[in-house]
Amino acid sequence: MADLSVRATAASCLGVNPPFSVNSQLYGYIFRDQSGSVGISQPRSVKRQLELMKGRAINLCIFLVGHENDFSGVVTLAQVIAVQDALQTVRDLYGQVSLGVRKLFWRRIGVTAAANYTIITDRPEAVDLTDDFSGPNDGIDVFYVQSILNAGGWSTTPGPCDKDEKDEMTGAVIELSSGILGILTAHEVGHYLGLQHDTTITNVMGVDSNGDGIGELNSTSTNLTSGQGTTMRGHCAVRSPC
Amino acid sequence: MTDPTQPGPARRLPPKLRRITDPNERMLSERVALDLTAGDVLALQEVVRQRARRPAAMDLSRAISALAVRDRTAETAGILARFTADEHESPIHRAVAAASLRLIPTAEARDGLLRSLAGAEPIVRIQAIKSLGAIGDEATLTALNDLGRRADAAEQRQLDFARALIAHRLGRASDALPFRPGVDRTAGLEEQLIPLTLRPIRPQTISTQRAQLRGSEFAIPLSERIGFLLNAGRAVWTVLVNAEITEGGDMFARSSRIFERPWITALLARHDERTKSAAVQYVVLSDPDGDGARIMVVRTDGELVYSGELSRPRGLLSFAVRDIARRGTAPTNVKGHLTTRGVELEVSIPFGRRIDPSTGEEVVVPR
Repeated sequence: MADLSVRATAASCLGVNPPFSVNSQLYGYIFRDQSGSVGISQPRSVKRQLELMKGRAINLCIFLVGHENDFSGVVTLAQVIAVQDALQTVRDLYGQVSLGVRKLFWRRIGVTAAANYTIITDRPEAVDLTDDFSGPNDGIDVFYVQSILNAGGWSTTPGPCDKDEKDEMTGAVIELSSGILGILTAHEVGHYLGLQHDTTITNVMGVDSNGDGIGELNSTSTNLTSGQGTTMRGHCAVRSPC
Repeated sequence: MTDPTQPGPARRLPPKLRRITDPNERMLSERVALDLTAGDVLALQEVVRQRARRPAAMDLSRAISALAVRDRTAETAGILARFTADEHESPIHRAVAAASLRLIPTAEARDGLLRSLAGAEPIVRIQAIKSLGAIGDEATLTALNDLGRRADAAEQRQLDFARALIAHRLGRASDALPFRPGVDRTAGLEEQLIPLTLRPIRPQTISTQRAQLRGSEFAIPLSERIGFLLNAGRAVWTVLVNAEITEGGDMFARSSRIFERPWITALLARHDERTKSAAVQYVVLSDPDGDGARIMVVRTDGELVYSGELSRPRGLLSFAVRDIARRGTAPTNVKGHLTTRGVELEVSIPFGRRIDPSTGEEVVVPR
């Protein structure tokens, strides 16, 4: 049986050696609220996270758009805590099909550089955002903005592996105002990993009932099929087991 | 008139609006907004106008953007303009209202957006300036010219672009957005390049593409006769040409109006295959220059990305477009000429990779 010790897995998969924080370095949850909590609303299992991160997994590069480190920008502490909770939801949802989320790279776009990107009015603006900014090539870029008019999120299917590619979105763009931020993140990154909309609202990929290309989602949109898992795990952004 | 701060029972929204504005659902799209009923519009207007009667759990941004998409009337413009200038409302919601007003080119929208420039929130001012560029008129240009220099660099860039847009719409010379020459790229390796084509499209295709166009049309009339389809790798744009340039004559003739005055010459609307829609990504500005014209291809956030020239040798309309070596842009050098029969490319060097996009900045968690 594979060695599932925290110490060994952190060393082999994350390059982290003791002493380290399970929350900050194993999970990548670096923010804490006023009570000291990283804000994860659902029970989580360290063992399960170790299993998933050791298998086929993706890395995510989280861009906080309009964020200043002292929270003087447009991104609030409550919002980054919500992002961490959303990322745990993504881990839980993708875990259904044995796809892990291994590393989180946290980046920010300051208020001045993000001026036009805090509100995304249409898809070309989301494309421009992913043109202007790119994280490390071994992580999928996920940009969190304040609001996206008439969409909630934008991504591409499938997303490119080379994030300097010119002619397509090279990341997912997601609005922070969503009350189902984890499902929405899993949905948009799911597009990047090659998934199309589904036929049932209970699927993470939602349903496009009126054919307008926007996947409808709600709090029940939590299922992934084994076929979808196969597609996701076959994307070039998925890292080998560690 | 109803006092928006007067406490009262929260407005119960019709079922469809409840779903659209429910933060725990995602179902709003342009098409869903366009299908709203007149009764839905009245309910949305009330929700935006009367703060005290809003349902507790609703996403106000969605209510605002759906209202602007569905009801592009002076009344709605007035409601959104007052909302944009109301400092009791959240800056994000006000910025959404300011951005939404670019869909409603009315005096009410322009006046309200100009009033909002006196506010304290840069996020609101930037969206207001951006919308004013898209829908501004003569009076707007005067007001923006009188604003003076802005302390914030992003705001100043947007202001420069707004002034340039309005000046070009009105045919005025403007130094608000200075011309920058592009880089004359030489050919790269074949594997570094992506396929690029530019071809004219029929009026019926233009009509279809316009029906799919979302967002602002930058207050210019769009030609129903002349348009192009631009493909670069996987990306597709419809090039929608200003009808004022083509009206009453032939765009390709030596007497073309394109060389007579500054213009917003064309809009490049980027396609999205999944939603079967398009929205403007680039605006093409032109200015007379000797016997020809200079052109600037500018993103909707005011970033100059490509520049070049138009000329008219032997009765042809020739063009050259090059990237200006900005971060995050792929090197590009395209030259060709337009004839009544089509587009002939003499040089086509579109690189497939962007150069040096920003990696953002490090997140440091306060202790």
